[in-house]
Amino acid sequence: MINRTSTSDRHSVLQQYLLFTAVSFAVFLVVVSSIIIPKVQSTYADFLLSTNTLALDLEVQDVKIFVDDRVTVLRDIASQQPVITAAMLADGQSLEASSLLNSSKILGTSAPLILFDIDGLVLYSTEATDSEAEAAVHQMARSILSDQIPQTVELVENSSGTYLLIAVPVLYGAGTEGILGTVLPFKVADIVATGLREGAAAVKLSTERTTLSWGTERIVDPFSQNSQIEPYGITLTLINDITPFKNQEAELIKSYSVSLAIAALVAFAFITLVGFRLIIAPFQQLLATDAELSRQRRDLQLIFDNVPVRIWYKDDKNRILRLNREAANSMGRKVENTEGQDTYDLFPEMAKKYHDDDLAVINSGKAMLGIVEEYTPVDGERGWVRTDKVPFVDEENGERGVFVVSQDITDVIAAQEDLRDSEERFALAAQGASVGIWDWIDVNDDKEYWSPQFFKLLGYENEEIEANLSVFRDLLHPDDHEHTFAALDAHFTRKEPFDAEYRLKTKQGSYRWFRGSGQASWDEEGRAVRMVGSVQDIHTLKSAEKNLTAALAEQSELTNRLSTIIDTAADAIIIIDPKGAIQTFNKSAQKLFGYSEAEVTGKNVRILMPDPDKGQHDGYLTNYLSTKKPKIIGMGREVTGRRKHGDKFPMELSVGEISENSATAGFVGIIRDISARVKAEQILQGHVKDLARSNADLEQFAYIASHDLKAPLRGIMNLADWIQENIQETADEETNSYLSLLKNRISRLESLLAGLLEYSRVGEGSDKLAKTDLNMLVEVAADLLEAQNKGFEINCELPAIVCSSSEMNQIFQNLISNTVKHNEAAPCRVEIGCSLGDGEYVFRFEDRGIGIPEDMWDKVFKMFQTLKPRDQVEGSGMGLAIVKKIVTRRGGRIWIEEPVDGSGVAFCFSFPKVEKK
Amino acid sequence: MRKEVGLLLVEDDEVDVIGVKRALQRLKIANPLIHACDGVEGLEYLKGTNGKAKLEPPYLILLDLNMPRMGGLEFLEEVRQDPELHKSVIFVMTTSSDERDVCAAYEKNIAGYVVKSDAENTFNQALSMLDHYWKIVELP
Repeated sequence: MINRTSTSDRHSVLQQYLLFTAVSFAVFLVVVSSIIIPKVQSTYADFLLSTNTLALDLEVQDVKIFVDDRVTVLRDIASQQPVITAAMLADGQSLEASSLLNSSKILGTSAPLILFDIDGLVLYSTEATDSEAEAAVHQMARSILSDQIPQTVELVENSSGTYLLIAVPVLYGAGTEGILGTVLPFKVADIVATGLREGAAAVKLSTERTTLSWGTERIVDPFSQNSQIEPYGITLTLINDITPFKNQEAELIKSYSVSLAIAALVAFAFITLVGFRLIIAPFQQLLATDAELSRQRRDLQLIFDNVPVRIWYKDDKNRILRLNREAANSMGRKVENTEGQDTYDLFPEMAKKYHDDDLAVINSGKAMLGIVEEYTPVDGERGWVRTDKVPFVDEENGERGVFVVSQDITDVIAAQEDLRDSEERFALAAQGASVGIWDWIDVNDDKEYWSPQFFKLLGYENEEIEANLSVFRDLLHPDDHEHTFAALDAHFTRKEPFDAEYRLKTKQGSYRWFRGSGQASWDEEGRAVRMVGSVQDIHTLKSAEKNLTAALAEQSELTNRLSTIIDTAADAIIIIDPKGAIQTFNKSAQKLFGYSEAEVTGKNVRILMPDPDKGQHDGYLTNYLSTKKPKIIGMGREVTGRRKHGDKFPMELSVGEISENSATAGFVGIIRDISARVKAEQILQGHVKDLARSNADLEQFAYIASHDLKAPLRGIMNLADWIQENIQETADEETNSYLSLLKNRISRLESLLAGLLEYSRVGEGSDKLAKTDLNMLVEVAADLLEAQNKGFEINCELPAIVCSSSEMNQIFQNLISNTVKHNEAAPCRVEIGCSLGDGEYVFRFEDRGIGIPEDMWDKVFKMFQTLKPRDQVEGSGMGLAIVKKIVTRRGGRIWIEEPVDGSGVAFCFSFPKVEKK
Repeated sequence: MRKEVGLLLVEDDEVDVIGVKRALQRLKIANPLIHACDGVEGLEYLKGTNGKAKLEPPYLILLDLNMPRMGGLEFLEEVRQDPELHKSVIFVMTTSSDERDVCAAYEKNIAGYVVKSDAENTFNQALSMLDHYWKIVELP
């Protein structure tokens, strides 16, 4: 990791260095080019200009000479006397002049000469000439005459050729006598210098009037310069094609640049190499060294921070200069905010002592090692440390200080304290009352140490008798001799624990039970060397043990009896542990379920259950164990069992909890096969259903019978009526009385049927329960029966209760009707009352009438039962039967009691109290 | 002139028929009486089928409930479903005082429900009531 970092550092340094040189190189090239190229270009331009000027001057010279020569020749002609004379005399026909002019040639070229007089009129012309040229000459002559100029020169170009026109004055003395002009054909090419002809140049000659060109068609990239040819007013323009110059220039720049670039490249390569060797390589080495140093530093810091020892160093002003993490942690602080701290702030309690030690070390220059002291940081954990303090002097700045290494020895101190405690404990134990200590210092020797308590246990004063093995042997009960020493031997040779019970003879001469235990130590060859042990008086315990044995025997007897009971019980008895595993499975259970005890012992009791109990039983158990809410315990329940062969049977199960020390140790279940009972119950249920059906049938029968019987009965009644009507006049007394009897019997039958119908329909109507004012109800019923009108007095004090008002109405109507019917002869008083007791209303309907003989009390509630012949008291005999049926249907009772005042009868009936929903 | 109102007596009990007739005589009611012995025959008279002369309105029907073949409630059902007959004014006169019968009959829009309880008086009172009824009430 560390090396890679430094390598990459080195790489980047190299890269940056190379990048730097490359950029410098580029900058160099750009700067140099931007200086050199314009320089080359301007140099070239200067060269071009000077070359051109030179050529132009030469050309001007040539043209001037050409023109001068012709002008001079023409002047010579003009200065000839015949010409002068001809001009002066304005005689163009002068022979002399004409011959002279005709013979004159200009530099070997014969050209037309034209002589003008002073007025500019043509005096003589040697030959016909181009008219345009002639006109121009004429013009020239006039301008000489008018402007007094020595000569004029003009150029003309037309279809017939190019011409040089020259005009000079004809002078006589100083006066102008005429003008001589010539039209001189010429070609520009003739007057262009040979050098120009070969080079890529063009020439233009121009006057105000005309411009003549030569060679312009060859020019691609023109560069022109001009100059006046004096005094003729001709402008010479020299045009050069600079394309070759440009090419040359580019070529030059290219070659310059290439050489420059190569030179620069070489120079920079050199610089780079030298620079790398002189700067980069040492720099990279420096980096690598630095990385290695920082790695070492980190390693050191790592060690410094992770060494499980507290290290710090302080200066002589008691400030912590540096410390490791362990040290900082021990003070409950961070390294960063502990460096530079004063120890008086960190260890207010101990700082003075620490500082004194530091100063002693610094001043003496000698180390203090192994200082064991308390360590009391303000924030960290307190404890004990062993500290080494070593002086140091910083060689660079001469500062003095102390280097501290401190180790947490809290555990060691604690262990030492424990050891001290345990030693104290041993000493205390040795002094304790119930245990005696002995120390057999050398097992090959007889001598022993006995603690004072040992003597005391035996009834002796301390060291009253000698403490050694022989004495012990003498005190030991002869019967305990053998097993005690056998145990001792087993301990010595096989290192079996030595723990023996034996009797020792006390000072009083009686034996007491002791329990002796001890531990030997062995040398390297496995021989016992020393043995230490204790004796404890267990006499009381031993007696108790005897009693316990007797109690155990008794309990075992009890257990036997219990198991006999369990085995001989007619009911199946199963005991399970709290997890449901079967522990006891008695004979009856085996017989009932078809499993043997061995088959089910340890199995979960589930196997005796069909689904869904089978899957849920474990849940029931855990639920009970956690909530302690019994669902079945303590109450019998009918459940289904499953025999080994899979068939199910109903059983009655009662479960009891077995508790030991108030924790559940198991459950006992007592099971009785109730198949027979259930079967009987089912049969009974069937009977009940049959009975209910037959009752319903009977009621239906009663209803239909009475209903259907009524129709023919009415017919009979009608017919009897009509017969009586028809024979009323003629029939005798007897017949009429028979008919009356017939009608009477029909009425009775009708009333019987009506009663029967009413009886059968009890409970058929709406059973709506509502709060009903019974006083009102009785009043209405009595009104309907005209009881008061008939002289009866009805006193009623009844509550408003929740009941079926139609049923109550039926009850009271029937009761009142009953009283009225039987006491019509002597109307009486009726008392109706009601009391609430034990969840039911008890009504008492008492009249002061004729009463009912006691032997008839049971009979009156039967159907069609009347106490008197119907001929005396007309009644269906159904009233009380209906009342009884209503009352019993509602779960009440009805009975008759003695009246309070002796006469009359009291009907009592009860109704369970119903709360309005 | 107002057409005389006919009376259709649908009754299976011969004695009751006599009872009605006697009551008519006693009350000197001369309106025509037609007797049908059950619901089927009653419908035949109303529709003029099975060789019976059709009873033309206006008429009143006096109907018993418990009858063979077609009982009174079934007869009511038929009549109320028939588009021609459903307007018929019908009184029920029966031995049943069962509330269920009373309710079922009034469900079928009967004009009145008379229980034949007290032998002859019933007929006299019932028919006297009908006599008044058809004298006062306009029939369809």
